[in-house]
Amino acid sequence: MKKKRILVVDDEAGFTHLLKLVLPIYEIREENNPMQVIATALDFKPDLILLDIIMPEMDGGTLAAKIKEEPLLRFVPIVFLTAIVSSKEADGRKTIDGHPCLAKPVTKDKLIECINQYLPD
Amino acid sequence: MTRGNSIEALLISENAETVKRIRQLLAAEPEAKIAVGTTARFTGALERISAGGVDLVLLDFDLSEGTGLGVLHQLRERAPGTPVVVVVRVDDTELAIELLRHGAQDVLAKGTLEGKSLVRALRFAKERDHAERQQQITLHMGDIPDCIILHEGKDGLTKLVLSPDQRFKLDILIAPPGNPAAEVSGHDFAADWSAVIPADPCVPGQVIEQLLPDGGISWNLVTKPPPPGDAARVVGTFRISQEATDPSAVAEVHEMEERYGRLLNSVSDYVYTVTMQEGRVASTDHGPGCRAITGYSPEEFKTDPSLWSRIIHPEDREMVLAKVQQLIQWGVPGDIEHRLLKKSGRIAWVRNKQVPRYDSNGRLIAYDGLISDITERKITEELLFAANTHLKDVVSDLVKSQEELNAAHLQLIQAEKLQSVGRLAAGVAHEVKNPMAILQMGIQYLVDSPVGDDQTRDTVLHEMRSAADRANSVIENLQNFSSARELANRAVVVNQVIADALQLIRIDLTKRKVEVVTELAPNLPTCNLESTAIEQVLVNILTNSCHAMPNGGTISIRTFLRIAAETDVERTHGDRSGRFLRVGEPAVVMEVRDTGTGIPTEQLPHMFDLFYTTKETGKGQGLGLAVSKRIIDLHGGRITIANAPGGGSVVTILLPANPPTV
Repeated sequence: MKKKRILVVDDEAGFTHLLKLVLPIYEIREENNPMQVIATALDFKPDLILLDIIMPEMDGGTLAAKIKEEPLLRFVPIVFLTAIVSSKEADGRKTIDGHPCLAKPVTKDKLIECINQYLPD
Repeated sequence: MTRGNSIEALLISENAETVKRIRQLLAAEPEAKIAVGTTARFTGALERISAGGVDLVLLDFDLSEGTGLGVLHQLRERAPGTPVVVVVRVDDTELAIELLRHGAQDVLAKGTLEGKSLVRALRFAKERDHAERQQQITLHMGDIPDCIILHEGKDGLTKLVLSPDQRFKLDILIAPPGNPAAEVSGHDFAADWSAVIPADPCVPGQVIEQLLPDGGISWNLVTKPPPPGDAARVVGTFRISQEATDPSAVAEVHEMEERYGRLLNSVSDYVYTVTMQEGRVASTDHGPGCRAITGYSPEEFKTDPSLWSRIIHPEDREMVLAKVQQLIQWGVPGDIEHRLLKKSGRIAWVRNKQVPRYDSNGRLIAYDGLISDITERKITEELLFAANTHLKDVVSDLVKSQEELNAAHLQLIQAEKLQSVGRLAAGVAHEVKNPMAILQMGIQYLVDSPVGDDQTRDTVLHEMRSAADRANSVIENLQNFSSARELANRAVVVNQVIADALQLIRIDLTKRKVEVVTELAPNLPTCNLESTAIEQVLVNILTNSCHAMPNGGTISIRTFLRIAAETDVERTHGDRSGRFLRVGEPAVVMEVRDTGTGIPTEQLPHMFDLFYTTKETGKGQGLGLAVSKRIIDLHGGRITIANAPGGGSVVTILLPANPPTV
């Protein structure tokens, strides 16, 4: 079975790097520059996008809207992964702009659970 | 008869020599216009005088048919209206006085006769005589009654009216008997009569006010002698009435009365005396001014000794009587203010000063008091009091408003604090949680692959250590910011601090291709500061500038001295440092300018906010400028940030300058 592709967008390279190391079950592409996200996504064709919110130059919310405007990307599920919400707020049910939301720091299990929940079949 | 200034004189003389001499003398004075007729006999003289046209008689005292004195007598008696000048042979003073006493106007001696003096003597004699007669007429006129009323029996009333123009014509108006009300020639006898007190049979020269038909008032001196005969059988009375005053005098009297009345009614002070006998009030005497203040007359107070204490306002009576008691018992002079109930029922405020009076044995015999009307003052005082009370209310309202405002202000500050706590929490969350997320992932990796390849393992551990350091530095910065740290201040010249700060980040600056240009004023005064803290501020600012110039640029640092202006000393509320820059005091200025991107206008107000950052995560925590501001505040200085006119931003720091050392 082909690995699901996950695009991880975060300005912290340390974090995306570690995430990739921790989740070998997925095919992970890191993107640390929010301005490059659309191009990378069109190239990578992810099954799901993990998106940080607080980033320089373009915040996650704006980026999510831009992704949804792309015809080829509009159906790709987006999960926000951010430090601005508490874990209590973001237990997987909370949404921001209609997208589910996970709080940093997050456990591997919680992350996998959430990804699997929103990954298209 | 006198025609103009001329005089017709008649000379009575038997002496041809005398006649000739007088004629000559008068002829020599033609301007005197004195004509002289002569007669040798007294009888002839009387005829000429009664025929009229003789102004003056010159009588030669040496007459043969009798003594000159006899002729003088006859002349005065039979021709009283003609003045007589007597000419005597010798200048005898005794004789002259005698003659003057007998009615001569003047006495001239033949030997000294001379034209001018003769003329003058004759003229004077005539004028003098005229004046004397005028005077006499006036005197007599004054004695003449204006009206005589004769009252007979019950109804009989006769009135003799002598109006001024009738006095000498003696027109008599008789009121018809039996009809006392009848008017004769406009005179109402009954009204006249009623002015006399009928019950009193005798009126000795009483001045009676009488209303005239035209509404005017006449004052009459009325004498009503007792009726003749037996008083038991009074058949009638009569009254002689005479106008006592001329109209102007009446008006004067009225005016005086009015003025006196006004004066009495407007007095605001009067004196009273309370006479004591054996410790009790024997009598009270109130001065006439009491009428104006109390409405009661002195007589009323005299006849009613308790009137005084009755008119004291009931609420004040106890106090006033206690004072009086103190005065009587202990001789304590009183000075009190209390209310009186005036006769009109109105309330008057008075000041009542009492002084005891003792006899030679030291016994209290009386006390004297001074009553002053202070109603107006009291009214003013009450108005003032009311105004004052109102003012107090207003002030207390103002104070209350001020307190409410302060409370609102405090609430605002509290709300702002909560807001910054919220911001703080969010900032801390973001800045700490991100490294935490890295740690979490790192641990997960280490757990999942205990025997992974060493290189990856090292990378992971490095990431984790760096994340832990970042989290720690956020917390430490926060502690620095929040702790009310004591500054180890020393007098330092800021130029040295700038040099030290530049040294600290020298490598960073070189790496980022940032050039530093300094323009530091020599001979700057020192500032009281903690060098490391100011260094921290400068490093923060310089680092920010570096970040604003990713492709390198120039940082200009300038120091100078300036006098703090109004705009330099704006204090933020909540600043409790107690030390701050004052207007007009010297300040050392540090200016750091870069050639970077500058700051978007909407972000400028938030530059010193905690956890406010425009930088990417990990590069700025939003703490640098907030901590810097905190440090500068603690130094009593001021830090501002703005966009430089030519691009880039400029940070200005002002620190209070120390006075120059001697």
